[in-house]
Amino acid sequence: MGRSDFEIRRIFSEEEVLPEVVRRKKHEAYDTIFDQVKAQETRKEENAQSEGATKRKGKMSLHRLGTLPKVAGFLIACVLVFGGTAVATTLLLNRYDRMKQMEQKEKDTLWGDLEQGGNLAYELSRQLTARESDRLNKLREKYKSNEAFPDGELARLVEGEAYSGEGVALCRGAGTNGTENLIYLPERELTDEELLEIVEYEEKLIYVVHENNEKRFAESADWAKRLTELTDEEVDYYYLAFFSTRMGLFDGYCRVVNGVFMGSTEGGDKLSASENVRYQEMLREYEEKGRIPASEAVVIEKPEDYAGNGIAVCRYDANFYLPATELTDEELLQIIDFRKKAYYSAQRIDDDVKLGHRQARPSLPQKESDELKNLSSKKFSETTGETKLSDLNNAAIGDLVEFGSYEQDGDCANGSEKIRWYVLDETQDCYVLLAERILDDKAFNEELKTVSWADSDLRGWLNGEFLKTAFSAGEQSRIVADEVRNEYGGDTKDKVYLLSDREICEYFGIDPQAVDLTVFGTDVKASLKRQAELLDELDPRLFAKPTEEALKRGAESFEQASVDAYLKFDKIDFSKALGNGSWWHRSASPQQGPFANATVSSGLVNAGQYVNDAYGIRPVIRVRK
Amino acid sequence: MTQGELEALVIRAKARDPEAFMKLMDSQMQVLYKIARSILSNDDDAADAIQDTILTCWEKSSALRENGYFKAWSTRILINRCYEIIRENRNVTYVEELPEIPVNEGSDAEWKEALAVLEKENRLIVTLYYVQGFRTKEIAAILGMTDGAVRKRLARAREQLKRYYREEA
Repeated sequence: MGRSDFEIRRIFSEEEVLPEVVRRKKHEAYDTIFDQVKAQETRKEENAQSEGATKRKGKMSLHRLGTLPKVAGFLIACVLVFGGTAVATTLLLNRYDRMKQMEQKEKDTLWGDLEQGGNLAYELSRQLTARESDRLNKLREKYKSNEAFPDGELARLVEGEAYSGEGVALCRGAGTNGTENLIYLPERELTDEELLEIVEYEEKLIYVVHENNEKRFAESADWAKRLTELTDEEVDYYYLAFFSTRMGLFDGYCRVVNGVFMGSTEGGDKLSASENVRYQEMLREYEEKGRIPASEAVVIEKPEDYAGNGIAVCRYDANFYLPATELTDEELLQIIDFRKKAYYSAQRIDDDVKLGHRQARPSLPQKESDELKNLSSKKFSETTGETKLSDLNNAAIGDLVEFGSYEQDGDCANGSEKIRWYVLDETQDCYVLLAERILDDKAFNEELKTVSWADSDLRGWLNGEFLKTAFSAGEQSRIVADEVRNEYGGDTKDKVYLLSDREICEYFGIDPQAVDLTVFGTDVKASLKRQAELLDELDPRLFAKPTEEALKRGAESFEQASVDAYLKFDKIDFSKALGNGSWWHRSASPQQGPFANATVSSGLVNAGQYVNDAYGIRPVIRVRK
Repeated sequence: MTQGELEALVIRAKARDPEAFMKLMDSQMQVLYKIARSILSNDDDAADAIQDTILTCWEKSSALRENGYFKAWSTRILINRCYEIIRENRNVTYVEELPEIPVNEGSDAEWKEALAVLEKENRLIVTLYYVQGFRTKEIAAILGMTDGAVRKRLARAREQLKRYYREEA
């Protein structure tokens, strides 16, 4: 059996003791850094002493801002920290409300602190003890989850004002070299209230920074200023057109020649050399001379909506669709303008989410989801109860039925076994059936090349050899050869086919806007964790196990060794994926190269599997009633 | 370490907090080592490249604009340094003559075995993809290649690995 992507990833993620020479050189580098810092601190102390500053002795420690907190999803009243009814009132507000309550004067003061301190810095008059550091971190977490807030706030000392020795107090410019801001701390152990005041001060600084981001961006250039004038509705529009795809890739090109999508091998996924040169010229014109396009790129829902002329942005795959002809300056400007607006919108939305102005990123409005629902029945996803084996002549959506036979138990001598299917959908005339298990293991296409479902070897095999092997002549005559609507490469007329990305979302009740179905983000661990969670959240019928015979033929399944490895290396429990296999969809996006999508063992869509890789086959048929 | 924790360390490191910086680099050490070894043929050179990278990251951290790009940024510094070391070594050993990665140097780690199976030019891409978890587009940006070229190389590398494991079985 070949090794899966999971397996290769595991091999490369294996931790090992670093060679001695690497550890030694690392420590040498760290020592150098420590020496530098120490020398710097000594210089600072000497300067301070020579200036006769009345600072407390002891090692100064630099304290900087933490990351911007994520949006808090809930509010938990925690009276343990403070106790009393006054606290309960305070806790009615979440931390964002506390930020929003800030008056402009306070924001200006904080901005003044930032300008004075530079680099988001402040110093503490003494180093925190290990215990205090630990408590600070814990209280920061509580603050972020709205469990604990300070009653009061950091005191402020004016320049030259002496610190009383009690409470925490900020003095601008009292730190190193008279530029850094200094927070005076009492010599005794800090109280929770004092630590929380420091935490809130940091949070407020971060808030002010984000609020000023937009202002600073607007001031950076005229074109940037124009973007900041977009309304929230416009920002949503550009964002959704470009970033609502869950196909894994975005911001590509797709050139359409005579109605045919040109793949990467034909150069359809990029601009020509001369267009690239002119793109750069237009970018300069746009950024430096304020040249904007006369009109905008249009937004289309699906690739087949592209009319073949002008520039269109497709929501389905977030590609720019281009005409066959050399792009005009106007068209290049449309691309530049749309791209700038889309990326700006994403940034603004992120800032808004971080600032608590929005709860979450926008998703497609319900109306459009409803339109998508009409493409096929949603009922299957509502039948997650017990699945019963029914007679095909009297079946209901969600039932399991038997139809046709295929070698499954790995013992050819005892003949083939009946195939079990889920009833995915029904019309007046027929049932739509999806194989319960992965029946075989095949490449989408034998040759690694750009290919659509219509031209794939797999389609040929399913409607040829598989059809003949699995169904008797009588059964074959009951299978409808009807139109299959494809997202790419034109519609086909098939007896046997595979589900498309969109159909999977529809039948299994997945909102592609809400669930990121693509595997492997930049943060592998977070992505793996999410996959493990989705094993619980997604319809269990989405996961399929290969038959014994399919395993013999090379189908991969999530093995105990992988479960153990993930538990050992990542502390993530994938035991629910045990035995699951990966299976092809028919969604091959030719303009993006030789790739098609597949559902992997943990139920997620792996966008862009190489077409010549073998994956499991879960056929779909329509059977006359 | 989550992306959030990583970014928190980056912010502190940028503000010249040596302890945060070291914690940050320690969290990347396995990855940096594997990347260095996917380009360089021995641990000594890899150790030098990592040492220089640590110091460069410390010195230049304030130049990092987006905290979320720390991984890509430090990876790029490391890769550049590795190629510089190869260039420096050219006086002694011509790059094409560098010995293949010895499978059992220091350890019998499976990933080293897998690296040795691959063509030299594909090792780095595989490491960036599988170890660092970069997407092909990010790898393309780091290496200054097209996304298509990265995918093609990755495809070839996976084929090599598959073939190797098939034969091994």
